[in-house]
Amino acid sequence: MSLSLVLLLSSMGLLLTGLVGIMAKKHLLRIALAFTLASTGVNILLVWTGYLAGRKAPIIDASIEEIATVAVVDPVPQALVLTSIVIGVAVSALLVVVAVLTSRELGTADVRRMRNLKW
Amino acid sequence: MVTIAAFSIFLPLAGAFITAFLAKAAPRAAELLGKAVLAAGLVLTAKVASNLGAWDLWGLSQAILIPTGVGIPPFSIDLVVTAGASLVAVVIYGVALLSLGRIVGEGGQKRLPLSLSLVTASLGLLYATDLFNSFVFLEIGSIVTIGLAASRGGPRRWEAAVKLALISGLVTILFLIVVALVYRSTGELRLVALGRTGGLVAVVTSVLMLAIIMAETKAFPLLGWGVDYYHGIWPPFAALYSGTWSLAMLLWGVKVLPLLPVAQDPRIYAWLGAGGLVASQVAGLRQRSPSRPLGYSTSAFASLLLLLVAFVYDPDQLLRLAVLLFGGQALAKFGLFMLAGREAHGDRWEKAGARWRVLLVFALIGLPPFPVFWAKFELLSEMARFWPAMLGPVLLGLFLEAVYVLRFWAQRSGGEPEGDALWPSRLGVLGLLAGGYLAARFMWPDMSWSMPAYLPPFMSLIFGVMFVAGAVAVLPGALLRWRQDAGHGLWLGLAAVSLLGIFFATSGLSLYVAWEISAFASVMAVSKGGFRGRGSAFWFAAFAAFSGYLVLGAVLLSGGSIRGLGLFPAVLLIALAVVVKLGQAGAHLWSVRAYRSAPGTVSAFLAGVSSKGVIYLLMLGLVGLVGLPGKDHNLGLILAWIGVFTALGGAILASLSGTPKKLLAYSSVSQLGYVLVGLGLMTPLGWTAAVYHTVHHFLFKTVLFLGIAGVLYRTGGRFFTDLGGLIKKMPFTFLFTLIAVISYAGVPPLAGFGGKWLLYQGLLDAGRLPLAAVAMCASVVAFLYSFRLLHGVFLGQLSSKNKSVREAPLALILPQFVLVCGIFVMSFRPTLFLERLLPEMTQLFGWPMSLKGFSINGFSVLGPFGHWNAWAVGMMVFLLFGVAFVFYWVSGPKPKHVGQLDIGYSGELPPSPEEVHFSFEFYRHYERALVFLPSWGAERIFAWFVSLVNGAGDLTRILVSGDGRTYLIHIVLFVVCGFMLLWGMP
Repeated sequence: MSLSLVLLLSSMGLLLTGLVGIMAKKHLLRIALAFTLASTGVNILLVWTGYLAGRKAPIIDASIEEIATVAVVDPVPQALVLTSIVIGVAVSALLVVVAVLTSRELGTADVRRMRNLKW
Repeated sequence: MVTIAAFSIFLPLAGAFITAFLAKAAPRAAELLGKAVLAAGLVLTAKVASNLGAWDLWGLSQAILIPTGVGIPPFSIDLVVTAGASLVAVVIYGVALLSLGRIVGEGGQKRLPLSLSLVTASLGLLYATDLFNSFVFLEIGSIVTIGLAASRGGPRRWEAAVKLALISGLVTILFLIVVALVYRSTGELRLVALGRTGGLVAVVTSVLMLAIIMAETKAFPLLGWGVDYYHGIWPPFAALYSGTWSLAMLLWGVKVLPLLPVAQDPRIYAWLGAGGLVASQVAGLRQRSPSRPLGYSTSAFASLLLLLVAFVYDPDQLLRLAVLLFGGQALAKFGLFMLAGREAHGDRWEKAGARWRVLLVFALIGLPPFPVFWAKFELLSEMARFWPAMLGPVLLGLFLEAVYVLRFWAQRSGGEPEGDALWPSRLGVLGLLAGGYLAARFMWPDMSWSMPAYLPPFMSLIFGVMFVAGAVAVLPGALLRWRQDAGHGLWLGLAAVSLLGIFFATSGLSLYVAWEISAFASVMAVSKGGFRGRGSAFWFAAFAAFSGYLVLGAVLLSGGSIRGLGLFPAVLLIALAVVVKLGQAGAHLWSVRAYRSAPGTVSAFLAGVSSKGVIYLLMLGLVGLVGLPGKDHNLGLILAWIGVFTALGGAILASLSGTPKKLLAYSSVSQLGYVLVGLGLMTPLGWTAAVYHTVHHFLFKTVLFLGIAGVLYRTGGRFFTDLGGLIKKMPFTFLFTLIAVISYAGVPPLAGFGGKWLLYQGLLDAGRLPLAAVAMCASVVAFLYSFRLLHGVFLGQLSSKNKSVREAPLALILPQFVLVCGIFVMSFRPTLFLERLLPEMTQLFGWPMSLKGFSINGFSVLGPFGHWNAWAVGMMVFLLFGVAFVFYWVSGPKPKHVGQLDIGYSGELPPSPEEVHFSFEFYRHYERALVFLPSWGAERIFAWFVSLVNGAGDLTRILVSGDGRTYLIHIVLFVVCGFMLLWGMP
């Protein structure tokens, strides 16, 4: 099994697990956790898009400067993933904060019971 | 210029960092800094906009490029500032600046960084041209909006924040999947790469992006979270959110949607937009709390986004319409949310400036001169050109939106909010007017007014004279209450002027503009009425909106020319609009309420003058059918039947009315029915009778309403039981009313007789005996209410409350006198009209055969079924009346005067005072005979219809279940269904 396939399968697995968790779980913290799983899955997907078999990490120093274009994987997705991870941390933190404050204010962390706004 | 533009984006971000540090240490300084940053940004973006030549709305896709990443295009990551986007940026900065004071409020300086970051996020999204920048700004925006929602407000804000957080999380994941797929398949991250994908990736990308945009812009069926969000958050946040982030999101949709592979088949967007518009707006009708309808209205604009992209391909036009449509709605929503009282949480807006609210409501539903109006018109014109059938659902959806947004204005009345809270909304209205001005200047070539040339000259002249004379007759009366309420006089004046706009309009757009202004200025004038004014005005507004959209449909189908109104589909819509606007066939629900509640002079204007503008429009449409065999005949016949049954029903209802204004309102409905009968005949004689009766109706109805206005002005009584016996107190009013009543009762010698005579001639001439029979019945019933009016107000016993009543003021009496002179001229010299009108009509129809045996000879009109010499008939009646009067005076019994209290109860317990009044249930015996009628009544049918529509709304509302996870499931289901539907499409 190639690494590319491993990346793809693991990303799909994490993504699906996360998505199912988001829709099936009731507790806000569990939902936040499911989001983290899904976004990890997406990050792996991004890494997969730039993966080229047999190449190195795109850290270009003197040793490979001459042959960089054929020696390293595509750096753009790596940059994307980095940004995405940073943003993911911020979003997860906010989700958890909102979850904690909401459960403190409303006395529950169950999404099903947050239905005062409807119709 | 690139530096200025770049600076304008990142300035608020820098401000956010600094204010975050300053907020605790020096809150005042932080606030000042925040305002300074936003003001500077506003100036900078305005400068960018003028450098790009954006203000004249031409060439809005012109752009400058701000490189933000390494390399050169297409590898660099750039922001592109188009001229259109720079205009939107001005709105975003303006909204942020105006809302800042309220958002920060007392001790809320920690919210400054959030507000400022939201501006940067919005601008970034607005200018982003690649997927990754879009992703970054999307995330900043999500984080900030979640934070803002949670930072202040009632307990519901937590729900709103949680739902937004859930949706944002899912959208992030979907977006990154798109990024990965697009990059893998094209090696690019620019937005244009979306269109370069192929095969499976193209389908997945299209569906995911569509879901993302529809969820973020709150388009049906993914609207649930957005509606809840607007409902739950603190109104000033909603103002900021809708004016910045939501606006940027819509503009981002304008940028992305055309690039998606699915855009190659614009029918998909069209169906999603039109279907979503109807489905979401029918649910909007069910809303009662104030913030929620605005959420549903946002959903309407999201559907319009899809329609915009489906029908407009020219990039300049697309941007112009997007700027006007979305910028306009954003400013209007901003203003409305800012009006919410300081402590309002969703359901209660205790204090809200009604005066400003109504203008904002008008701006939101897209009335002229506000920007949304022009954009909607242009968008719908494109639709009419490419796919006219789509106009049906779209106009229906827009109408539904107008209804509940108008109800939002009508229901929630209250005092003015605290002084400083009004200013942002006022400036918002000014901004909207400025935008409307820019748009109107752009659309000016499509508008033209000049001397009307589509109808015969003498007939046009008659209508023109009526419009001017009517305005002159009612305005002095409106000035009577100038000191207490200047508003209704101003609105009345505007309505009168716009009536002339209808008259002189020579292009479809100018006609529609004048029509809408006239209708809604009248609505505003009605809302100033004391008795249930606002509620009645809402009914009026809803029906006016309905007929307005029908007229719009007709104008669009006619290809923008007045002459095209005669094309069959257009004239059908015109006829329907006119039936509604004249209160025919059950549509009297609005007119009776409006006439009853409006200030007296406004009722006079509406019934006497404004309705003639409606008839004028019908003639403009029908005239195009002249000479077409078959179709004109059927449409006219349907109109005639509607008219004649309304004439009968209106007369019955008028007789049973308990207040004089209601009686006059029903009588107006009934009398206008005769006009429809005449026009529907589509013969020269029918039209002559119709025009004659129209002029006559103008004269007597204005006199009657002005007379009643005087009575109510002096006595203050609304019911017949408050009145009676005023003959000696108000002799002139009585005299003029008497003349008008005799005239419309259709008895010789006055003009009503002539009108009916002509009409019956026309009916018989056209061989329409059944119509003539029903019309006769209606005329007979008219006697009942004629007498009721005279007796109830002027005869009988004088109420003790009215002992000290004086004659009506001169401002009301004098116009009545002049109009009564007009009635006399029409009565005794009808030939003055007829000798010009008849030949014109004959020529118009090119059909002299039908006028066989019809001629005018001196004072006489000779018809195929008899002749009419008005002068001789008049003299005869006066002579006979004189003889009878002298005989009665000399030989009859002397009358005995009795007071109101001269009643014997024979030992019975006396009932309440109103019930012993002579006028109480005057025609109870007829009422008992007609007891089956109410079950057929328009009110009941209408209520049934409304419950039906509400049932449909409830079906849609199942989607808005309030459960955050359900909203996520909707998105996933949308993606799955979209994938299955698109998979296999070429």
